[in-house]
Amino acid sequence: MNAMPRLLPVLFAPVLLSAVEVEGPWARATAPGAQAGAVFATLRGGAEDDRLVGAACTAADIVELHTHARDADGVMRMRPVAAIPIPAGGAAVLRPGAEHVMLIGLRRTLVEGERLPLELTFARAGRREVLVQVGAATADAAPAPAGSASPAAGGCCAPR
Amino acid sequence: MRRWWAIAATAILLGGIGTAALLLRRPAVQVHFALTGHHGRPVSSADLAGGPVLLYFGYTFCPDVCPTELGYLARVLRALGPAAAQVRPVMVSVDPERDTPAKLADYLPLYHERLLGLTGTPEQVAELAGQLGVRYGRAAVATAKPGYYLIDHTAFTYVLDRHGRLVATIDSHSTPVEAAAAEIRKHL
Repeated sequence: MNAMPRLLPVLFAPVLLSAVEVEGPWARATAPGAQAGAVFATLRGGAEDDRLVGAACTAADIVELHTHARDADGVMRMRPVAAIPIPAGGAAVLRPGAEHVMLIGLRRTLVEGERLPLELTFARAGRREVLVQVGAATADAAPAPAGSASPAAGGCCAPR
Repeated sequence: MRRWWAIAATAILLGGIGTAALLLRRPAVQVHFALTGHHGRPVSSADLAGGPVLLYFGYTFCPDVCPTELGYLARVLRALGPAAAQVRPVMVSVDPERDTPAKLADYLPLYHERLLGLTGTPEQVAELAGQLGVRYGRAAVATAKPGYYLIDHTAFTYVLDRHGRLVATIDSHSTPVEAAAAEIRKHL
């Protein structure tokens, strides 16, 4: 009679495992009039390989996925990429100097302490709305999470 | 025939000089420039002599590399403690066509209150970059936003001593903040 509650975790387990988890999304504060910003996060893979294939943010004209390469002469070359792979059971780490979500044509300044809504689109896991914690302009890692409020649209991802 | 001898003799002579130069201690490059500061006034290398100068080459449209490097520079200055007041941190724009003094003035205080921004004509910037071996250029791959371009550039910090001579090149990727501060302290 009470089999259903016990079955629920079993039924939902594959769904949960296949979901990508977005940990600690963060960005740096930008200067007044700045045209560009970057968002970083750790994307934890589920049971299957997935790919981050797009992103959208109301604070920027265009959002692209970018990566960096440093050539033999030390020249940093940033390039758009079509997707960022997230291996099953592994993680894609978006961080300064490497892969990141790039905000182009900022419509406003990103202010330290704010939480910026960002929509991420994954090939398998679909769309996820996350709140990006904005840290200091000089930060080189994610700021400490401000409060424990969870986003309205679910699926966000304060660092655990 | 005589001409060939002259060429051979010149080659041997130049080769000899080249070898000698490798054996001798390489003299520090004296760096000269005349650019415009973020306050709109001219700034020359002579104006900055008297203390160590940290020259970083970046641009304000830069979304990731420059904030990363300027954040590193800010941590190096913090590591120097009170001695940081004797050091002049500078960002030279590798995007002088878009980086006006006003743009630099908006951008730089967020990273460090004493950062001086320098820009100029493309030729003036290229001339200084050439002295230091800085490489930069418009990225071949465009972004999706029309008119918005990126600049590929080297991301080292050049240390000039109080006489304006290049004495060290810091690569943040391989130099911990404390080691960079220690190098700068030698030139206070």
